Amino acid sequence: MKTPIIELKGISKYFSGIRVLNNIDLTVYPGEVLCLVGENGSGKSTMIKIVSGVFTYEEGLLKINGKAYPKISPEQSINAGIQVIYQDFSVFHELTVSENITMSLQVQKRKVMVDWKANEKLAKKVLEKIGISIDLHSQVGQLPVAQKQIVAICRAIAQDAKLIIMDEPTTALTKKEIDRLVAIIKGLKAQGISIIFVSHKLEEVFAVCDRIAVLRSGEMVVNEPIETFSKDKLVYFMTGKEIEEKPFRFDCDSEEVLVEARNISRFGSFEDVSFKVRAGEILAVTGQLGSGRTELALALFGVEPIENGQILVNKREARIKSIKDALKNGIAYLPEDRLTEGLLLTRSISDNISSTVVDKLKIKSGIIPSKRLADLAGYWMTKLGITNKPHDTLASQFSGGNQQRIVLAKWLAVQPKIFILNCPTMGVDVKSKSEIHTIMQELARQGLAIIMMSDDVGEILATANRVLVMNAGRVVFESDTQGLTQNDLTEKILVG
Amino acid sequence: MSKINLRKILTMNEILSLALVIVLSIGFGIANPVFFSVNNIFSLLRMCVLPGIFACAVMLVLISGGVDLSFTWIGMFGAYTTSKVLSALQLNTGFIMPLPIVFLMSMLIGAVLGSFNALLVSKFKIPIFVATISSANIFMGLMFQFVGSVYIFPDKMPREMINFSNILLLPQLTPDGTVVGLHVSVMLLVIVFLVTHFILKYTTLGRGIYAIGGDESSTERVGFNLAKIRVFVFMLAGVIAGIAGVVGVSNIQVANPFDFQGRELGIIAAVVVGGTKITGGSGSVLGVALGVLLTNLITQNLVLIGVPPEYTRFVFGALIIFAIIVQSLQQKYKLKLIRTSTASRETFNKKEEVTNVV
Repeated sequence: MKTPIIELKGISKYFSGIRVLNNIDLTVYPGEVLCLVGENGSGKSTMIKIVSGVFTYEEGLLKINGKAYPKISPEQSINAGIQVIYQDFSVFHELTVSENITMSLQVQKRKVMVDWKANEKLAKKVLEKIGISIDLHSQVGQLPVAQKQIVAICRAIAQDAKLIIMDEPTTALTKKEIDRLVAIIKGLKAQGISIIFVSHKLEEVFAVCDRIAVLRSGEMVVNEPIETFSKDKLVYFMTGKEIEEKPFRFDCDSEEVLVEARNISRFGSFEDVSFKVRAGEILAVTGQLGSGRTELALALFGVEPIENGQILVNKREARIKSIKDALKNGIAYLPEDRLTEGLLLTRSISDNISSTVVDKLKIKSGIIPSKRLADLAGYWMTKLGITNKPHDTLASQFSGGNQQRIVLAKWLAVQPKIFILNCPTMGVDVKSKSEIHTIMQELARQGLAIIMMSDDVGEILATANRVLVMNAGRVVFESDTQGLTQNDLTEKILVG
Repeated sequence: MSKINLRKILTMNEILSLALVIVLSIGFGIANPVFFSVNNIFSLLRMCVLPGIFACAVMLVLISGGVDLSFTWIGMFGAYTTSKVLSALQLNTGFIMPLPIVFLMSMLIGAVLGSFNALLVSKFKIPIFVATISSANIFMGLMFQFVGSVYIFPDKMPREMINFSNILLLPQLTPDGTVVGLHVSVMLLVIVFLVTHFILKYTTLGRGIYAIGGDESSTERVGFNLAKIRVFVFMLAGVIAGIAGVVGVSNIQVANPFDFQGRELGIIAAVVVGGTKITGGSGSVLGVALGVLLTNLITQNLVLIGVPPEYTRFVFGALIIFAIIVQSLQQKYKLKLIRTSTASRETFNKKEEVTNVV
């Protein structure tokens, strides 16, 4: 029986008297891939920070490679072979690939001088081990996200990692890149390196892991080999409930076409795209990175306007050259990245929700009474099920799922007729995800036309009634979702 | 292959200043051939020494992520104190301090003052801009209060400093009897450039300066000791400022405590024009050298093409804006290259067959 790479026995952690981790037992063996699953606030990151030495722990014992560490510093953790890759990959954008890969090793070995040639050789060796080719001299800031991640993984390998903890590694990746990551993980596994894979996404969990450990409210709820799990069982353990998603059916009989695109193009983004969306429909638009789907959304919202073709709203041609134009036509847009594009993180929830309709909340003298802002926020918080916190709570203090609901509320406040949502459930826990789907379906039933950009094939088939697949700026496939299988759709996305 | 090289050249940080130096030199030379005379070039190089050495101090702190506004006062504190102490020593005992020690004294003072900056930024987490405005005023006040504020004239200045200002390399006798040549301080400038470059490129702490300017939390995660890097940067910048101070004071053979006042922005501008990003995380000695050369080239020679001296400031300001615009365009171009780069994605996708090599 091999020595486990890490062994947590009865670990508990308190923050100001509040117990955030309760009696955690966890063992990871060399070459094992463990999926750590849990909603926001479950204690996942606390546990990771304990293993990596950033946090201390109050009860229990941590052993790494058989050695007991009642106390551990980040340096000791790294020396013992623990590496954490955070969601931002902790790379230096202005520096080269080679330097990013070797810098932490440089610091770890306490080297005073930098030997560029030796470092380059090492970086090259590590890249070859993983089997990917990236130009060692390119600036990391200029690499696509998936390659930045490879650089981060290489950095971990260069430091002789025995356990690599990846925090939500697939958030910014497309399906193809996720497959490549899975292949890399399998390669690392074969070399005896263990991986803890933290993820929300069920498909990936099943694709790559040997074991699943589920944390809920600071407790290890289940820790078993993957074979004993089914999707439903996993969802049940994560949320404590059974969540069933009923596929969306287009009920409305109306032929009322709310928005139509006729041969629209924008140079460098998309070309000759046409589609119609009726009131009550949910149209999903999907495709790989670079397919033009985000650009399409931005064009409909006036951020990057079309250059050719026509957009018709309510059967009349609409000139959409700015966001103002889009709003005038009743179009709202939920952006892909809520943190940088959707929320004012340093402002309160009521400021955020009322930001789109602030003008309309003025009283005669031009002043905006804060009560009106608070009332509006309160209305939407109840309607969308946002956690009940005081109205002046900063947006940054809400979980991912709640933050997404705040952005939704903000746009619903303008009472749009056409709602475009770009990856609405990205980085959102399973429970919030299904609740957001329910909200979307409810909106459709109320007569809105919904266009949803998404990468998640399961989500598309469950939520939308029609799907558009794009590739390199063109529409390559269009179909009703009824009767379409996941495999069919995935194939269309990859092959075009 | 040549297409990729063209892209790399266009996005190089130093390309703008290099291009401008070449173009303007040719332009000035055509307008007035006196420009190309050896004496003029030597004179230009000498003009670059003081700002050039200061620029190294500025660059170090700028790469680490902030703008230092105290460097001129550190330089003056070091040089003025050294001058005053040695002047008194000289007058009372006749002892003439050798030049290297003169420099060392000022460098030591610079190191101490620099560490005060490090304390403010590292321990109290004050943003560099704010911290150094405060420290500049503190140093200025302390200097006037405890060291003095009177001019020290050439007759009382430390002998070695006076001598230093007269050393010429490659001296030549001109037809009208004067001696012209390359001032030795240009060599000192080159040495400072080389040492700074060496530290930035070949030491781990030097690379740490780039890291901390790039992303502080990543720097911590990678294992660096943030405080250590800050102390290193600010002390080194202080030392370099101390060197510049002695050069500046020796040049005019007078210790005038107000001499460097107001020069900060011009030097910072030279550093930025030379390609060091104002946001931190990148920059090179080559870029700084070119930036300093460019700004002094313009100031020295606008008059040659008939531009009235009053317009020098205007041209200077326009140049800075121009440089920032070009840098911003370069950024946009770089981002476009990522988004539309099918080339990089293809090579990436080709290695689809991931070999599980042991």
